[in-house]
Amino acid sequence: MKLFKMINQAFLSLGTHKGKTILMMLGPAIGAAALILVLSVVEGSSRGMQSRVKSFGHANFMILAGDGMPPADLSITTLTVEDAKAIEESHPHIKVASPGLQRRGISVEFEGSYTNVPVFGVTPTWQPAWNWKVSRGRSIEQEDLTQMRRVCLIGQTVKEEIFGDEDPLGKTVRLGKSGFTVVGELARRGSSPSGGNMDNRLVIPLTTMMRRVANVQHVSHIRVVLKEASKMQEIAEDLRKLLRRRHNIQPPQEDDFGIITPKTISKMTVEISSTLKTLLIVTAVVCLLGGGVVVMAIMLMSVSERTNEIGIRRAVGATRRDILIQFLSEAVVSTTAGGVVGFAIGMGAMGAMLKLSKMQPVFTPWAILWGVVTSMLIGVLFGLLPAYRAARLQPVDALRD
Amino acid sequence: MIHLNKINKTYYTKLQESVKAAEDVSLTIEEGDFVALTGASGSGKSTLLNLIGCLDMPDSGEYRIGDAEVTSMDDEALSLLRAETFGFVFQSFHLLEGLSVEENVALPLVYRPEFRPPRSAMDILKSVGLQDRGDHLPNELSGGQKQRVAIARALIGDPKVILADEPTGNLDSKATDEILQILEKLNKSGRTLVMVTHDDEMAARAGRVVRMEDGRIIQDSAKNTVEKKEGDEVADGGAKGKEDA
Ligand SMILES: Nc1ncnc2c1ncn2[C@@H]1O[C@H](COP(=O)(O)OP(=O)(O)O)[C@@H](O)[C@H]1O
Ligand SMILES: [Mg+2]
Repeated sequence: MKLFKMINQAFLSLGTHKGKTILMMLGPAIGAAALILVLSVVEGSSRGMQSRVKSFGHANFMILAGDGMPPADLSITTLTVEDAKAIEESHPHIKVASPGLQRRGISVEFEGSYTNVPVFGVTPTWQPAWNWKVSRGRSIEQEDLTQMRRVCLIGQTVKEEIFGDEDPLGKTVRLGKSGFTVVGELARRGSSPSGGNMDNRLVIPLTTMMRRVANVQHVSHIRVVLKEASKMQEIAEDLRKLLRRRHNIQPPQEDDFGIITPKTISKMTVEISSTLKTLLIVTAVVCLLGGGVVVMAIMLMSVSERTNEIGIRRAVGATRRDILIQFLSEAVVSTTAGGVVGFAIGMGAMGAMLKLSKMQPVFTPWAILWGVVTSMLIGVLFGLLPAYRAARLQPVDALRD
Repeated sequence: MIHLNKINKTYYTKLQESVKAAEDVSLTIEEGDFVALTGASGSGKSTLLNLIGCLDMPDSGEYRIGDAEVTSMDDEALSLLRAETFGFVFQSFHLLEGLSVEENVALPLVYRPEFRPPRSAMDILKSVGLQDRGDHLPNELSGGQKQRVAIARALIGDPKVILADEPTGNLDSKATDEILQILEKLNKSGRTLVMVTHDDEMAARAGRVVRMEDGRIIQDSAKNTVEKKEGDEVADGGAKGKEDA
């Protein structure tokens, strides 16, 4: 009851010193915002990593031309269909090694409607290797490859964009200069863990892709599926040796391919987020501590400016403890309010991140608690000394003009 | 009810000079007394009043209120005395500028949440003629009005003793008269009043005049004693006090 009245007094005097109150809120606000962001981003990236690993499959490799950072480096021409065959036969644990060639931004047209899509050249093993389902029509078959047929499977987004409500099966779309017959529709898959639209694609036979579209002899990637997850590292190492031998790479030359394992994927996401994490944590700590120092400076100033007020309160019956509590609650109320504002800023920044960047921060209740509680603690910690000074004053000294 | 016995208080200036602001001060004040503390500026009047009101603690000596020994009390008990027993009125009003007149009057209640004041802040403001100023800010009032707010604040806790340190020192003669009348009325209704003034004419309105010099009480009209040699001027004041009594 008394505490409530005194906190009310704290609110009253914070209201009369708005400028100072805002200054005291500032540091904790930014600090809490950064803290809330870092926790959400970390949570988001760890969830993102989990779902990436999950969708990648836990018993798979990806072999990419280039340095292994996706997307594959298309200027590297050493990865071949024969490599895929050799890999498939190299180890009893390997279920399938499915080669593919990818090109981005190829224009597709049907009766005047255009769209730009990534096009994938694949073999029939592509379907089990990548877990794709064909919802209507048929898939890519061995016949399509041997005859280099101009047929394609169409993703749901592409279908909507160029066919609208029309049934695409049996229709001919124009891809570059040549017409391709749509033989099947890919089942809807939504967005990938990294945010890309999986349904915006066209799939054609690998041979057609190599000879008729891209006019190259190489592939951009090989997807390797194992029968079981054990021995993953050994097999990855064996494959690396195999490919180095086949590509005639001698030490100290670097690999001209990269093997991506589920482990690499999780390592990659962790590395990306840890830089950001450090940055945000440093921001949070600097702002919170800096804000704390500001709070202390302003409160000390307040105490010396308001000596007279302290004297008056003491004269009408305030104990040392009452004065301590009042000044402490002024500090705590303003830093906590700062924390709440920081929470709002953090939520705003999270929204912006979701829209503008690939990061997917996940809102966590713990983060708010941490943000607000930390700002509150900053108020207690840095308000204590000024409040103690205020409480220590003798009434008569405080009342002297 | 108030017994001071050989109270001493020495202040130290920044230059480490010591000033004996109260020296062997002994004083007894009974309930219902109207005591004027007079003396030249710097003679120790405020020091004594602050010691009585527990705003300051003596270096040595005994101080009893009723049967309670004040010098051995802790902060909690002293604060309670200031809240319950004393009401303060200062020369420079000492109102909180950020609070309204009514909030200023009610300020003491913040620290005594369990206390039910016999009269509300507005009632008391009415009794000092400020019923329509409750929601004003102090700086919208004249000096005399501010001092009436301060008196109202001193009264909300229903104290036995009013301690006033030159309450009219910043006021013109009309306001001075108003304030004195209010204080006299309070005394007549049974409250003990101790008022510091260096104005002999005002002191003369008190039932008892205590005169100080250099931290000592040199004359007390209740005892009719003159303790110092420079007697003439002092005896004069004492005589006046006696006449009025
Ligand atoms: N805090 C203090 N530090 C140093 N000297 C003080 C202090 N308070 C009062 N004094 C000195 O004590 C003496 C008595 O002061 P005071 O009680 O205020 O006198 P009065 O109220 O009669 O004018 C004066 O000489 C004054 O300078
Ligand atoms: Mg004085």
